[in-house]
Amino acid sequence: MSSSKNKSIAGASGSSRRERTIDIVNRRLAKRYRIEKRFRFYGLCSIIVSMVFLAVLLTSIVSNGYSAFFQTYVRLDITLDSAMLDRENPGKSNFQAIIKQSINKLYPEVEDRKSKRELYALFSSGAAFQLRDLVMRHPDLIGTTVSLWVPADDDVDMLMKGYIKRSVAENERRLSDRQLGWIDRLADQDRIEKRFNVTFFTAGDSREPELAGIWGAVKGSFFTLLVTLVLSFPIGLAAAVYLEEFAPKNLATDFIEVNINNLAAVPSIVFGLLGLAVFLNFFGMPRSTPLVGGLVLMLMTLPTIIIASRAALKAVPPSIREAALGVGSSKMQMVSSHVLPLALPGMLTGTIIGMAQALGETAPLLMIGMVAFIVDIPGGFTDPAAVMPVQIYLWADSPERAFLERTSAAILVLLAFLVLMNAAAVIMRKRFEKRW
Amino acid sequence: MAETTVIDDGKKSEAFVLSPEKLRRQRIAKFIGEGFLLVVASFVAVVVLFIFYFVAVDAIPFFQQRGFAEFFTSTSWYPADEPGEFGALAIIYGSGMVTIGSALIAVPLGISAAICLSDVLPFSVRQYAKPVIEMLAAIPSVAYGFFALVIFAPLLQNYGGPILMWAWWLIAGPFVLLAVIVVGDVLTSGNDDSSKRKTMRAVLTGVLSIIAVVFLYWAGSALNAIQILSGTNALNVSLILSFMALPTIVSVSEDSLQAVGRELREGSYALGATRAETLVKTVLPAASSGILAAVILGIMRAIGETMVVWMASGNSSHIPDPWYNYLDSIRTLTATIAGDMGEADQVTGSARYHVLFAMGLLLLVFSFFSNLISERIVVRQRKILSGE
Amino acid sequence: MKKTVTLAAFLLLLAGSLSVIGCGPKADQSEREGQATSENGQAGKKTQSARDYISIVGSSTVYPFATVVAEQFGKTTEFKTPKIESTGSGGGFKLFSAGVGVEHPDITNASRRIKKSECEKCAENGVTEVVEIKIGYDGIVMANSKRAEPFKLSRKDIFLALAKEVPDPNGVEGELVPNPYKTWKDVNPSLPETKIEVLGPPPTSGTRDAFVELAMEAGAKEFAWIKALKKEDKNAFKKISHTLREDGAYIEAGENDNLIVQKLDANADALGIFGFSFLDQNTDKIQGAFVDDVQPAFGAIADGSYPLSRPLFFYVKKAHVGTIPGIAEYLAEFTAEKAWGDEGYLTEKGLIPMPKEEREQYAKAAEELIVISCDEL
Repeated sequence: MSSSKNKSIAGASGSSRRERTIDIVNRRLAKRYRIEKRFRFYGLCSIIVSMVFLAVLLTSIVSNGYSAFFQTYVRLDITLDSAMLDRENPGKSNFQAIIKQSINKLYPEVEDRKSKRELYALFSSGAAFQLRDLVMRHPDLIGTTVSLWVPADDDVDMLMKGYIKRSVAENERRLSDRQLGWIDRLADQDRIEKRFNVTFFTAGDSREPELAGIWGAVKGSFFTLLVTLVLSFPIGLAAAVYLEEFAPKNLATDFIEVNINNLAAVPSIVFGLLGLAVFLNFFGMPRSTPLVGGLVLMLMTLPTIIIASRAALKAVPPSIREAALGVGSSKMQMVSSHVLPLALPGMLTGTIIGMAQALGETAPLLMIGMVAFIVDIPGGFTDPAAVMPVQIYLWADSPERAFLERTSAAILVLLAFLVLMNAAAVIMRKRFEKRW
Repeated sequence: MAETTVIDDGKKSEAFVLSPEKLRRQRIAKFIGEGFLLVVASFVAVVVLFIFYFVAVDAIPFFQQRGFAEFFTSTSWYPADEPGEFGALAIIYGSGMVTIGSALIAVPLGISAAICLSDVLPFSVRQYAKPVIEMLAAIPSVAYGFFALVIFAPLLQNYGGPILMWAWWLIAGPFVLLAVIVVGDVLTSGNDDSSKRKTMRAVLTGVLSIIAVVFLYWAGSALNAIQILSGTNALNVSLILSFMALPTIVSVSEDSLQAVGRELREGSYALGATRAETLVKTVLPAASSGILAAVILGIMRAIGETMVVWMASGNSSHIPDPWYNYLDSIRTLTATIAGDMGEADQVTGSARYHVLFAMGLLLLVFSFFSNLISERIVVRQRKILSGE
Repeated sequence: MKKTVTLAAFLLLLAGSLSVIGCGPKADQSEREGQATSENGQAGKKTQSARDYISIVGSSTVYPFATVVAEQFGKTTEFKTPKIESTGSGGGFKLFSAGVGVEHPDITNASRRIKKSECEKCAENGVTEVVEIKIGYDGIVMANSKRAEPFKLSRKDIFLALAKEVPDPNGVEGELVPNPYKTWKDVNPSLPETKIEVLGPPPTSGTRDAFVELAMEAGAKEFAWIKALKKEDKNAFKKISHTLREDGAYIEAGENDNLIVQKLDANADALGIFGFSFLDQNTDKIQGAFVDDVQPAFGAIADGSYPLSRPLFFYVKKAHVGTIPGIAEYLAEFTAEKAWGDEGYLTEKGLIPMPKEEREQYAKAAEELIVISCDEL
């Protein structure tokens, strides 16, 4: 403040040449309030910036991803010619040829080999497998004509969703003018439409975007988290109970506490190194399995669980403990029958949050071989599996345009899980938290 | 202790009786129970030491084979050559570059957001604002990486110049304006005559504002003309990392601002300070250690991040030219470990395998060290606030 | 009573946890209660049961093709879909040569032939019978945006434009100077006067290794003294031909080819380096440059006239055939005409097929599991 403040405070009333303190103060007041307003403005700005970023992030992912929940299907009339199908062994027949035949029927004017290849490229290679499944389940359909909705190729799908623009010159487009004409004909015949993309939720990974799904990754995540939960919850609980209730205040306890904090500080990639060299190389566990993934993630979630559990234990008031001791229980009894049940909701909340963190982890799993092309849905803990974040990472690298939207959709599904888990934790905390 | 009390009412009450038998059992149970818990808790602590030991054990052979000098001073990173070159300076520089870049963005943003949350905003708004910021923390790193690679990088490539220009105006604009006003105030406050001061201030502010606007415009146009060659660069990564570190900085700072307590604040208000003055002169200094700790934690988050840098930094191992050029691709320690492990010799010792552990060791040491400092600071702050 | 129960619960859970960590996994585990009670907590080395899926590792260039075959194989047979990891050719060989057994991979993909040292390493570790199958060819192209004129480059031009150090243009033989060329016209007067700007793969990429070997080495050898150097001092030769310039003309654009294509779209003067399959997938936006007067096209790569092409392989452990179900059938699927033939589905993904005779030769090798010997290499 300037020198004017040093003017006499004692000269309160009376002298008109000297300023009163209150006048000095008042003069500056307006300016100070202005500074205050600017300050508030800045603070608000930064919060708004974060919100704007979050909004931009989510909006871009949603706008890229929502179209993945729909897939373009084409209706084909397929004659299940008994001459082409082997009644004894329906699975071995050449379904690709049957599909090609039904396509040819729709476009009888397409003659030469090259044009035909262009035509077949409009339909997904999954169509043949779909037909195969149908015939194997209902062999009595052989000899009849069925009307089947098969997935269209991902380029057609992109066209129908507007990502491939007709207005662009032909040689800069992935679909030729002729192909566009064929697609239009399908539309005229009401044979092409967008339907809900169930495949996305029921299939495993695939090289063809229209056949790719996240179910394999979801199951893999589930198994991995289960392993993590089973291992980290008891250990975290026991460690927290010890540190809060039983640990004497000595150097050893300090040592343990410091190291638990350090565990939280270890970068995630180092856990990956650990998993690689210890679990894979030394113990020889199978690569790419939820078992090893869960073990690595267990180490990462332990600190979260321990810290949350300790907070929950601290929140239980001493009166409860004293009361238990007062009626004659031993310390162990007191902890297990009085303190633990009361602290359990808080511990569970922390565990859920820890699991949510583990669900989103990718880096350590990269190192233990979970970055692999795995099509089959995992059935157990030792089947090779991908987890959702890793699947997202793999798809993000693929060149096909259709994978872009599927990656965004997969991120949305992952975020949905995370939001659910965090919301569950918050609700649980609100319901069971008692204010002592 | 072992007292036989017989309450003679016909019933034999055994509730209060502790026979030597029961007592011994209870002691044993207590011993096993507590011992077991101790074992488990120590296991957790031991794991950390084990991680450290194990990374070091695999990192030391590298330094034995190749020495320290090359790793820390050379920028030639050619591990696949025979013989390989393992100069990791450029990679270390890259890690440092994005960490500092993200800190430059996240620290002011985070601290002001924390201040806003704890002192400025009304409680009802706080209820909504806090979960939003915590949501930023819940988003998995691969989603950030995807965003950085697929959406932000092309944006930078196509509209890099204009984006930089807009960011410049948005961020620097208010600060420059504020600086102008403050400078105007300071320069004219020496004068006592009220009306003269007012005119002087108006003139000075006017002149300074014109200079400021011209400066902003000139810098903005220069930025607009910049062509970003590759969208996957240090700027992209720094920006995304800053939003990942932000929630950490905000929560821990806010906690420490709250921990300052009502007494200090009320005291300041009682002396007639405005809210801003209370914040700047009283609360912030008191919470400064906690805020410093928050910043350190945020930095730790940024330096340990793998997915975003692997996907969006360009993975080019060189020191940008000039050294402050954030528009150039760089490579970080974490991305090198993740990327190179596939090619490295996994079975027996080779420099290529061990150098990755050396990098891991470097990261580990840095993290432990920062963690230690941050903890020290927090403990000290707690002591100061509660002790005084 | 309650405390005993709690204690027992703690101990049980811990025992379960430890036994899961210590013991190896069993193939039929799916219940965690089962894990806690049925294991005998042996810590230490694993006890692996038989794997019922094929484990494949190796090159990221072969990965797109192998995954397609694997998926087809999984869908059309009753075997499980093979698990394929993209570890890079070198990493794949390291894992492959570590030994025989269910914990080691069965097949490794490679974008180059196995080296003699790698073959010998296999033999040392008990992998004595290795079957080599060539699957086709891959071309490396330099592409630019379709909006500009296609480039016509010779390999000497490529070397001079991109090497870190080039022979002194002012003629002192045997002298190298830092690359002074700024525009393509500086390198070769017949080329346009545009700034040299090439986006290419980072050193971790197999494509980079292939590019450096096929284009840069050949270009360097156009200088007689460098060619002679190759015989005398291989390392020095490699240093000259493999080191790319770092002054901004060559930009390491990361592994994501999509971004490179976007950049090429925006900047018509820039060139990008990637595999032919990628060019093939993006013909709507980019076109390949002529190298030594040959345009990168299907036919030209297949018959070998396009100089920047390399064969792709995979290697199989004969010892695993029979133990791991489905390997023989997987080989059959890969070597069938409908997969790798001229009209096959791999061709549609951008693989350049081998000439018919070669296909028949390798199909036979796959069927009969003909083993290679290290001396052939």
